[in-house]
Amino acid sequence: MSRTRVVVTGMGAVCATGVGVPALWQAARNGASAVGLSEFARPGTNQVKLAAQIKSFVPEAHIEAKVLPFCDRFAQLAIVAADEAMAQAGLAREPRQGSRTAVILGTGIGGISTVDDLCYSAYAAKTRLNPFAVPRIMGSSATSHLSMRYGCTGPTFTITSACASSAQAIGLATSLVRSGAVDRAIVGGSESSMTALNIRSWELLRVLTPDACRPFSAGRNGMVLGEGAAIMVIEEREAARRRDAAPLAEIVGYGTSSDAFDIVRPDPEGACSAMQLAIADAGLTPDDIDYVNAHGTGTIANDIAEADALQRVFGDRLPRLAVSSTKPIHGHTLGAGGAIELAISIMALRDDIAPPTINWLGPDPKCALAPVANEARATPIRVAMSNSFAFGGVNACLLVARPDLTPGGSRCERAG
Amino acid sequence: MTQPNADKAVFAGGESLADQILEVIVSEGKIDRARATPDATLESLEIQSIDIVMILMVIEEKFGVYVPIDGSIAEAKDLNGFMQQIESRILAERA
Repeated sequence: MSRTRVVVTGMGAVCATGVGVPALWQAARNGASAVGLSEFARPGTNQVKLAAQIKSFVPEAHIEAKVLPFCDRFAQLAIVAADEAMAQAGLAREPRQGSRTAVILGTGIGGISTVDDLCYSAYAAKTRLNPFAVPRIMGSSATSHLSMRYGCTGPTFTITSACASSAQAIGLATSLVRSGAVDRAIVGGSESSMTALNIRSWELLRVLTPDACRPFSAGRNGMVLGEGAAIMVIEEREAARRRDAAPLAEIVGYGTSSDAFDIVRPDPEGACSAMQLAIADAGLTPDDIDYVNAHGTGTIANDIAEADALQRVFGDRLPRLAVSSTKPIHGHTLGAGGAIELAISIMALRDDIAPPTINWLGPDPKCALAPVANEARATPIRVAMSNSFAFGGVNACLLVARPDLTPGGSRCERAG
Repeated sequence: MTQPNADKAVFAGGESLADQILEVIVSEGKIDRARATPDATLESLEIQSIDIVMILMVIEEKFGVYVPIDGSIAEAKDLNGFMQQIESRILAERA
């Protein structure tokens, strides 16, 4: 019996690269980094000056005045990305989407900008407090805003698993569609953690780079934080076909696992397990995968563990496999990272182009892989893998295939 | 960039920069001072990642320099190497 198939019919994104998936993909493909000097309304004691901040975003240009007071920045980004995704999917706010549509998003922190403002108002400035603090702060607020915006009365919830949040949201939503519980879902993730105090908190863990993020490269010394959102519309393939929606990709595999090991140190075994589960879920073999968008933060602990895990999955093929980390371009967007990087993976699949790992200075003997270094590489991509590995030992892996391939993508049979 | 002299005796007496760094390591790493010999491995001293976070935070407070936990500091195997890397960052900042 054939399994219900799930396709992506719309995508949207807002990142430091600008508003829209085209801007994100153009930056990722061209290796144009959006990392720059951070700017804060209330500067802190930060030593690290780099971040991938969204600097040209005007929420009033995209979101109604009556909605904005209830939206923390992370919800604003989700709404704008969702509008783009829904438009591409050919769906609108009217008619309402109803009970066969779910909304499942991921976020690591939720409304931290509002928390920051609130604390400053209450304890330092002693000014009037924002009466809408609670609906802005709650981690589920972006999800609820999307359900209200499009009239989705199906399952609506938020996953928070640090940097694996949105990958898990997309994976779980795929399972819901496969199960027949819903016909479609609005999925993805959003994160806006660009407060001086939050960046200082990451600094205290000493994992931020003071100069440049260089995943899998010699001389790497940490990661760079970013903010952003990516939202997708996923649908049961026949439901999409019935309304003449054009699939961008098919979600063919999802795997998730837990290290159960350490709150900040990754265990390669857990990452390996998530990738193997995703490949098995898709009914594929490692040889079917042509591109990996690695988690690739640029930290010693992540990159060595991920390279080790990739070696276990892909074996001797790893040095010839197109692997890249796009985090030096859009920053590590924490809970939104899985969705943003899946969007890039889908564009890579569509254009048969593996985006580059920029800032790469040469091989690190501890990472037995050869990333697509500094410049994009044209290469046929049948199936792309997107990895998300989180503090707390939560791992998630998503596989996407060209929409015109069967799940056994290696055989390149045309779908009926 | 100013590099520390590899031959420099970082364990020499007096209130040298090395002495101040060692004091931070001993204090924040909760190390028995007698065991803090140059060739003692971080593992043998039971210095774990959380201890390094605390050590580097105090180094920042004391010397105003940000030292990532990744990069060359992660390569240090023994106490001398660890101290050399911290000293290198401080001297580079002052240069």
